[in-house]
Amino acid sequence: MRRSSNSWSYVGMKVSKRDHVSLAEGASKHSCDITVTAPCSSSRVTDDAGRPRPNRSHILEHCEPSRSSRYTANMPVDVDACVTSNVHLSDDYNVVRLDAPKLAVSIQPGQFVMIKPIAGLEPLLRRPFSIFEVLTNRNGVRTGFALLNKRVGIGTELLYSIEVGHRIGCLGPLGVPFTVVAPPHEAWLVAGGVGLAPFLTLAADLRGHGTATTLFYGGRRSADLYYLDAFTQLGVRLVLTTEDGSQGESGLVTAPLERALVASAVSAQPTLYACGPTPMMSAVASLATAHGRPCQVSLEPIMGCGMGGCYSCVVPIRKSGNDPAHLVRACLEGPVFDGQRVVWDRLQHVA
Amino acid sequence: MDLNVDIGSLRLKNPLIAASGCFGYGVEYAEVVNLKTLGGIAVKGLFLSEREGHNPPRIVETPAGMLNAIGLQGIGVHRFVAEKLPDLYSQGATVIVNICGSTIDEYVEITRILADADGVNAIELNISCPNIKAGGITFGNSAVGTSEVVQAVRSVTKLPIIPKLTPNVTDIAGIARAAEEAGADAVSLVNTFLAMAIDVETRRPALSNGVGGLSGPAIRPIAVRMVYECSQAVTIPIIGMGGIMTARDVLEFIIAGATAVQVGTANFVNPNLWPKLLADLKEYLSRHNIERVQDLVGTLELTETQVWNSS
Ligand SMILES: Cc1cc2nc3c(=O)[nH]c(=O)nc-3n(C[C@H](O)[C@H](O)[C@H](O)COP(=O)(O)OP(=O)(O)OC[C@H]3O[C@@H](n4cnc5c(N)ncnc54)[C@H](O)[C@@H]3O)c2cc1C
Ligand SMILES: Cc1cc2nc3c(=O)[nH]c(=O)nc-3n(C[C@H](O)[C@H](O)[C@H](O)COP(=O)(O)O)c2cc1C
Ligand code: FES
Repeated sequence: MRRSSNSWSYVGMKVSKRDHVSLAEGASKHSCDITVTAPCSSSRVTDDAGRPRPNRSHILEHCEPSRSSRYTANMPVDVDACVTSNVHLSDDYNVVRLDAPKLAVSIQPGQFVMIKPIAGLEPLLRRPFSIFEVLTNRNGVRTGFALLNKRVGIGTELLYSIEVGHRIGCLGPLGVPFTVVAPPHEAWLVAGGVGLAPFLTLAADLRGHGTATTLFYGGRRSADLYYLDAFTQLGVRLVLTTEDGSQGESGLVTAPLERALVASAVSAQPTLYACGPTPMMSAVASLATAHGRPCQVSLEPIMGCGMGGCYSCVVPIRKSGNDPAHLVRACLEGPVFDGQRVVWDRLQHVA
Repeated sequence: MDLNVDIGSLRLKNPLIAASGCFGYGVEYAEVVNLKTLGGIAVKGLFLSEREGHNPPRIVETPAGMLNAIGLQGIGVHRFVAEKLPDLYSQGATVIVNICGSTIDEYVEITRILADADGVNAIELNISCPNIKAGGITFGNSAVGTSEVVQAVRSVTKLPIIPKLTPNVTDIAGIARAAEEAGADAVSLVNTFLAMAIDVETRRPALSNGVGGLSGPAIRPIAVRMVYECSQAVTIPIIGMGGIMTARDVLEFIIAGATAVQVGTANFVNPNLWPKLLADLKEYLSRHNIERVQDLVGTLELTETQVWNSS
């Protein structure tokens, strides 16, 4: 396992005075003063053709039975997690660390939590969040996790301004994780904006298996690209783009991705992983198809419960080829899907 | 302490039931909830065949509540019996199957299939979903329609029949009375209130279906009034619901006249709220020296000026 002596939250980011205070308070109240992103030891390696499924065929409605027994789901727990730090990365983005050993134990990359930032009726429903980092103590024991939050509305606003010591209801881990590829396969992660969120745990896991990993990461401007040092420390190669050209290549992240796909051809055998705005994921999925590469995408529909109870989170998925789409519950059968099975033109763009 | 309640011939362990459409088919929750500890599980509304439902967005939050327009996506009664029911049965769940039809024949056909299956404890007739254009609500909107569906289903099963009433009518007590006269074992109420939310930036409805059903704490006072109103009109048990979040809310419904209650939207917020609801309910009963929860049903105390009757 890789370990950094510093908390990554300090690396390469604007940390305001207030944040330093929060972190100091957090460290004195809680024992998890050393935090690293741990490879998710409970995840399993499969080749690039496979995709794990929870062993819950009776609750899934459109999965292929042959795949459903390959992975046994971890049990979600509902915990009141204490906020140990809140670091503002910008006017919109922050990272919240939570003490939640029971929940953290079984997290696999790509899974999410349903959080209730404030008790009471406003807002009423929980909000879904990817697990950004798994936190461990100096003995490598998992103590909690971190969320990368982007302020877009009432719930994310509450999370942006949350104070250390506050407790947040967290239900998880939920959902089908990414399948982690092992050498000789390479992993190419493609992130747009807050779509970076599931990739730090994924990268840590991939690197734990020795998989060569590249992050294609696009933002509007240089200041919107976060946690670059954390990925670099894991040994992840970075390919950056900004729309205004202030860092990396100017334009969209799919441009260097396409060139790399054309150039790599036989040797690298990359598996693509994408998370970000729907048009970006759709473009990545069609590039993957065009180059015959597998592609896993993490979708972000509006979710009411995260448990399969409400049928609000459905996304159009086909079993294979040109089969008709079924609306399946992304909280149970996703959020990670095979990009080739998503019927992109039917998928709502919620962001 | 006796928490049992009777819904027709069906005895429930306690008065707490998971509401239809808010608990999947029950099996989804087996990892976090001990299903057999619930008074019952009302599963997601089922048609005869599979149904796709509406396009997203299907839900939107509103003050102290939410709108939904799921459009009754479901696997159909055959797949339910084959794929979900055995699991519910083996886990000891008390299963109330919520059924929908476009025609009376469809209600009858589904009931026949369920009556032949192991593990169905009662049938809840969804004649009140506001989100579909044909069927269901067209029966529940009138006393005559309600009566026709209940009679037709009654003639093919001895299972307890529980028509679920819509609040989107002027005289809910009249509809409850029609259900009782047609042979229903109980009535459940309320389904969601037809409602609308608009995105003012785009000037479009927030839901793809345009309108949806309002649930959650926002509707609770109206639901409590409707349960009280129906309890004045019928002698069969009432299953009350609408915005229950805590044991205090459960008690409000029971005192108003509900024999049992259903909890819907609150599951989304806290999927394992059941042990606390039950513990707090027991605490109340013991504090008030009430031995049987059934003794609390309809015990509302009124002064002369507070007596109210809608009809
Ligand atoms: C599996 C999953 C993982 C996610 N991971 C993260 C994460 O790691 N970090 C993060 O910042 N966000 C993440 N999101 C998105 C996040 O859940 C939403 O941004 C959040 O629910 C919005 O809540 P709000 O109360 O701030 O917005 P609201 O006040 O409810 O709504 C404000 C606006 O946000 C839109 N919105 C509501 N829900 C979503 C949604 N699910 N996705 C996009 N827009 C939405 C609404 O349509 C509205 O326009 C994830 C979503 C899913 C489904
Ligand atoms: C997402 C959602 C789906 C629902 N689906 C059904 C359904 O299939 N059949 C039904 O009879 N009622 C359905 N309902 C209504 C609930 O069972 C319940 O009557 C209503 O939500 C009020 O209770 P609550 O405020 O506790 O949620 C649904 C409600 C919600 C929120
Ligand atoms: S979020 Fe409720 S079913 Fe997926």
